[in-house]
Amino acid sequence: MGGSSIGYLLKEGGRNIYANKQMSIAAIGVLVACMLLIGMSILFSFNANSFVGYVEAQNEVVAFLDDGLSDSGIAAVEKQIAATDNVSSYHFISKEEGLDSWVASMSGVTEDSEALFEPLYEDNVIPDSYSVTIRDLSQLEPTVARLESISGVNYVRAPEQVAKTITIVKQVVNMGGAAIVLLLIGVASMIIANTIKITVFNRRKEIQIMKFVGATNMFIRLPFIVEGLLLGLISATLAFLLVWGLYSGLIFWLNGSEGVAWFSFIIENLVPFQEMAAQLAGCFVLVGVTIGTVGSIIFVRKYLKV
Amino acid sequence: MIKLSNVTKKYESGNVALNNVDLGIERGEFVFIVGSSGAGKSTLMRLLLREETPTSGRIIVNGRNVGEMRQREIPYFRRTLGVVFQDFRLIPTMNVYDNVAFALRATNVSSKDIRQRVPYILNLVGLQGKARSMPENISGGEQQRVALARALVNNPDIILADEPTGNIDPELSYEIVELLSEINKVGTTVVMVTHEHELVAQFRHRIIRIERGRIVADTGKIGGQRGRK
Repeated sequence: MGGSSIGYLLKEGGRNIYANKQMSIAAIGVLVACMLLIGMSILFSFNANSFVGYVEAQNEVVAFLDDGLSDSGIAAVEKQIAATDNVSSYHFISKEEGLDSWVASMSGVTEDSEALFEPLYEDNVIPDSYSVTIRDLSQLEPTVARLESISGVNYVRAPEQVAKTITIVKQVVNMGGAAIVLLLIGVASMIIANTIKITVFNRRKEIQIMKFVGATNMFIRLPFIVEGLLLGLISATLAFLLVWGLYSGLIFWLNGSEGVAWFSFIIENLVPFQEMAAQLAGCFVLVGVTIGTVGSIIFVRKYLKV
Repeated sequence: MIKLSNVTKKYESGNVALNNVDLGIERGEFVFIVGSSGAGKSTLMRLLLREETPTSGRIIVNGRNVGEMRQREIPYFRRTLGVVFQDFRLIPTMNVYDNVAFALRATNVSSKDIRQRVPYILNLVGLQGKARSMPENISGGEQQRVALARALVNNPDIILADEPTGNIDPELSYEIVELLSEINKVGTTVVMVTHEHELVAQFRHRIIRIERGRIVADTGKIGGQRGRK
């Protein structure tokens, strides 16, 4: 195909969009609306994952060591913790630090707490420990088992219930998000397919004329495909800009809101649009171009049998 | 040029549109196909265009066996034909020039050739001043001349005209047939389906009458034009 033919196809595709303004606007409107919903689902999914990830990062497993373990014993335990899979970070908490932090957590319970806890410092029963954060909470149990098996570790305290809840929430967010996006893509495909079907039906005579003047099926199909592709691209661009605007508007609004505690937590953990832009644009272009092009191919075929 | 041997076309409904038809049309002939509606005229045109295939028999058009043609050969076969319909079948969103140029683009003619041939053909059918007009803004007769220009622009060997004057007034009908006769004079075979007996009578061309799927009369080859009554 020569350059002039490509020029002709692009010109034809553009001309068809302009000549069939009403149908083109309808198709773009429907595509943009569907992609907006898809986009919002994707953004929600991204952010929900980010929030869950934040909560997940707050987890803490404490491995208490055998009482009276020597420095070399402690070093050996640390080496083994470092070598354990699924451990993202760890730090040593000495007996004294452990007691300090426990006492601090108890402060205010009674008026003379200092005096009350004084005897504990004379005979500190809190053992040395390691605070360990876990990378993947769904693998908490086997990780805890491995930590417990380390010689020198007495027992491990783990937030098992929290881990289970977070794991379930994460699965629901991921699977629910994917299901919603797939469902919306399905719905969008059907609506777009119908729009293209009407467009092609309106122009069945044109297709018939092309057949009678000796145009090959490919020659007839290409301008429709180019048209579908252009409609898809235009819709993808509009939807992307709209989602961007809406998301930025939401962040702006949240920033301006009076500081309710959970608001600031949300604002701090909102994923910046730039981080999702590439995936979102990719998804839009893919959805728009695929639906536009494949829809045109399928429905023009019906009228090519002349 | 066109040869039908024992051609029968039976539709799925059981209707026999053409029944054992034998017909020969020589190169350079002008033939009117006449008959009442439902006689089988349009089926004959559809068979010649390879819009339909015969149930039995053989159809040779331009040396090609139409019934045995493969799907991918059909566009190239149709490029040797020029087709004109009763309802003009112009593309409403294209102007006169583009409606004609479109037939050339569809057959991969270069832009340079298109720029030369389209004005020439529009001039031939007397539409040189209407190139930029949209179909809806010109008369029925002019629209049919655009359709004729589109049929002619590829230099076809045969023009198939299916009731080309059915939607235009008698004065303009005469002009259209006269134009077809002029085209015929330079060697293009013309097959025109019509039910307008008065119009047919004004020209000295071969007339084939079809009734109930059979050829019931054929004047044979006649030369020249009778002139207006």
